[in-house]
Amino acid sequence: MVEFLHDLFVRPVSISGLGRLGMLLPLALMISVVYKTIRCERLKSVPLASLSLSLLIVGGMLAIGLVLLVTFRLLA
Amino acid sequence: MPAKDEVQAARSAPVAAMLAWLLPGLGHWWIGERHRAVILFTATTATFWAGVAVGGVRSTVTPKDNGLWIAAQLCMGPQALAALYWGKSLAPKRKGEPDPYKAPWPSSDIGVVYAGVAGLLNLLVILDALARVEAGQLVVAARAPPQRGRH
Repeated sequence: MVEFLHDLFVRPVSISGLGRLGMLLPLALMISVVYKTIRCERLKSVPLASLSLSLLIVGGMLAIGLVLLVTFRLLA
Repeated sequence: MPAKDEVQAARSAPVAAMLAWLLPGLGHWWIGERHRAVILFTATTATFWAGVAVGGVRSTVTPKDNGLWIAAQLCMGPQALAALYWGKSLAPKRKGEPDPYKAPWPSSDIGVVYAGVAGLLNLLVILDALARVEAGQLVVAARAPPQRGRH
């Protein structure tokens, strides 16, 4: 157990390629869950509200990235 | 059984905030929001330790290379302090010796951001615990019968 925890939290994970973008998904989901848990009075509405907020965050970030990429290509 | 507002109004706001810093969600648990507390604890703690798992404890929670991110990470309370001292204990014994636990880019940055965002989310949780206690006090004060003035 101790060895497992040591390997899990001490040895860094190597991430490259699409994995870098993929790490945005759980972060956006957790931000949405905490925000919606605080904002929603009824906890039953939290799962759907946080899912839609996380999709909005990811979509917004991708849109910003796309705009920046197009701008960069046009200026290059 | 007292109403939720009355339970929250009977609590002290600074104590709720301190409990929320000690353990994410504990402030909400103390003011009677138990289901909310479990969700908040799970989400913030999972985000923090996911960051530590990605970047390694040595590179993620350290004041040396990460600038102001450490301030955000310390909003996670004793968990962040434990990670900080765990990381320090893994430092190379002699100066100039290579650090086997140093995370490569981009894992180092991803880990730092995850742990920092977890701390900032817990700051939001602390402020919400404070706001709920104060809102409960306002509701109870508004419900109280008006006091008669002395003639």
